[in-house]
Amino acid sequence: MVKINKDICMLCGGCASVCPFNCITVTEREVIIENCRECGTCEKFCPVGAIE
Amino acid sequence: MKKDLIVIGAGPAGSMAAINSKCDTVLIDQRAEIGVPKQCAEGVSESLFKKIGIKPKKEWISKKIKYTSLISPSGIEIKLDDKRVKKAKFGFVLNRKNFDKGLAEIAANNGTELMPKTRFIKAERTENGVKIYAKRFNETIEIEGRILIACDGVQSKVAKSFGLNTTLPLRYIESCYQYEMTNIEIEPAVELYFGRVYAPGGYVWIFPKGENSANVGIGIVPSLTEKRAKDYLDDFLKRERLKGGKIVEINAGAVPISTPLEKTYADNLMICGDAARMVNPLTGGGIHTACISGSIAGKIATKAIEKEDYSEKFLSEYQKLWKNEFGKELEYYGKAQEVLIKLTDAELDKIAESLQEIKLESISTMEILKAIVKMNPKLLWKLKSLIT
Ligand SMILES: Cc1cc2nc3c(=O)[nH]c(=O)nc-3n(C[C@H](O)[C@H](O)[C@H](O)COP(=O)(O)OP(=O)(O)OC[C@H]3O[C@@H](n4cnc5c(N)ncnc54)[C@H](O)[C@@H]3O)c2cc1C
Ligand code: SF4
Ligand code: SF4
Repeated sequence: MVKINKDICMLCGGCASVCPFNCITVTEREVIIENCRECGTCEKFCPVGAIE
Repeated sequence: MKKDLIVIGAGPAGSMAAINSKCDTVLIDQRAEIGVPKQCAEGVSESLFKKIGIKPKKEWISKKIKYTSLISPSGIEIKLDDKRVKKAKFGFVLNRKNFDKGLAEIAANNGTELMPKTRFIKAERTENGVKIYAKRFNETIEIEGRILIACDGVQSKVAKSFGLNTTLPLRYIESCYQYEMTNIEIEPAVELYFGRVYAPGGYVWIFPKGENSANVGIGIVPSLTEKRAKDYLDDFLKRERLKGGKIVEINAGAVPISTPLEKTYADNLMICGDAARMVNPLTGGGIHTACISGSIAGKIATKAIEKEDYSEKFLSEYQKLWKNEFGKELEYYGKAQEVLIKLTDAELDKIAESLQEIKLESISTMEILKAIVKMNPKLLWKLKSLIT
């Protein structure tokens, strides 16, 4: 499962809109990932490189 | 709780939907403070307020814009000021925090029940309507309604919970990053820097906000590069133009550049604004389309509730109306974006050279594109889809 570096994440919500499996929810204070299939799409999107 | 209409997301789309509804409406947003954080460069054209029929408050507007400057990869600047453009129009850089909150306030004053810090979790259909579950502080609340309007922005979770696929491929999203900066010299102009050196698949913008401050930001298409939006913008900041600049705020976000969802309605459901991917794919501007689609959805919802008809057939009127307003335009800009993304930096420089003497009737993106096509016959094969 991909990991979010909370110190870097801006909570912009973009990763949730590109995940092909609808695994990501970005709330006003955290990124929740469920059932990740490790496709790497969200990581490629992130404007600040918060996803590892 | 029981309501006629449930609107999710109090961005421009959701607040305009609530303002235009004349029924028992609830508007929820996951944010504790509507409009915060800002995820926007805040540029709009002057026509916005007339179009939505709302008089702007002073605090919604940061700066009046007199012209646009386009800058090519090698640094050729095309100033589209009143010397070049006959019927020059102006624009505004908004204060989105005040604008978004202001629209939500109007909705609340018109009778909408406004619920901040209330996050949509999921929806299900009931016999003749919908029921949503939402998290408000540590409590899960249920709201029953007849119609749901999804205005939850780029994440578009509401539509997904109805089984609609709103996933954006990496080629059709802009990965965005922005600094609000002060202590820089500005003109009353928006500056757009095009080319892969600055921003693959997008552009860098400088939108003035005050006497000496501006939103300096970038959008890139992530499928075109390994680097981050932040890396490109940090490089851009090294230039002379911004050397003394101080960062006062940092923003990030995503812009859909895919052209709208094919179907923006279903039984009991309408989808507006970014959630329906209604953004100008060339400029990334989505405030106008969010406001207009929201307004239309609010009106259609009111009619449906009066007639007690929440069927997909009745709500299809929504799609017909927004398509009339801006459907063709977004399609055209989608094509233009497909072309722009394929142009090399050398071609962009050539285009900039050809535009140095340009004289235009008005400053619509369409006019500029047509001028480009006219003056660059050698590029015609790449540009031909834009000649309508
Ligand atoms: C960096 C950047 C720069 C931009 N610059 C410009 C520009 O200069 N001009 C322009 O016209 N457009 C610009 N845009 C686009 C513009 O910001 C959007 O098109 C516009 O905000 C869309 O409005 P909306 O109401 O559809 O969505 P949003 O404004 O995104 O509002 C969605 C709302 O829904 C809420 N929400 C989301 N999920 C939930 C949930 N589960 N439960 C409850 N609430 C939820 C959010 O908190 C938010 O308040 C820019 C975008 C970005 C990212
Ligand atoms: S895309 Fe990156 S910055 Fe944005 S919410 Fe996801 S992890 Fe955070
Ligand atoms: S790696 Fe793929 S499946 Fe996992 S959260 Fe990211 S986009 Fe979704």
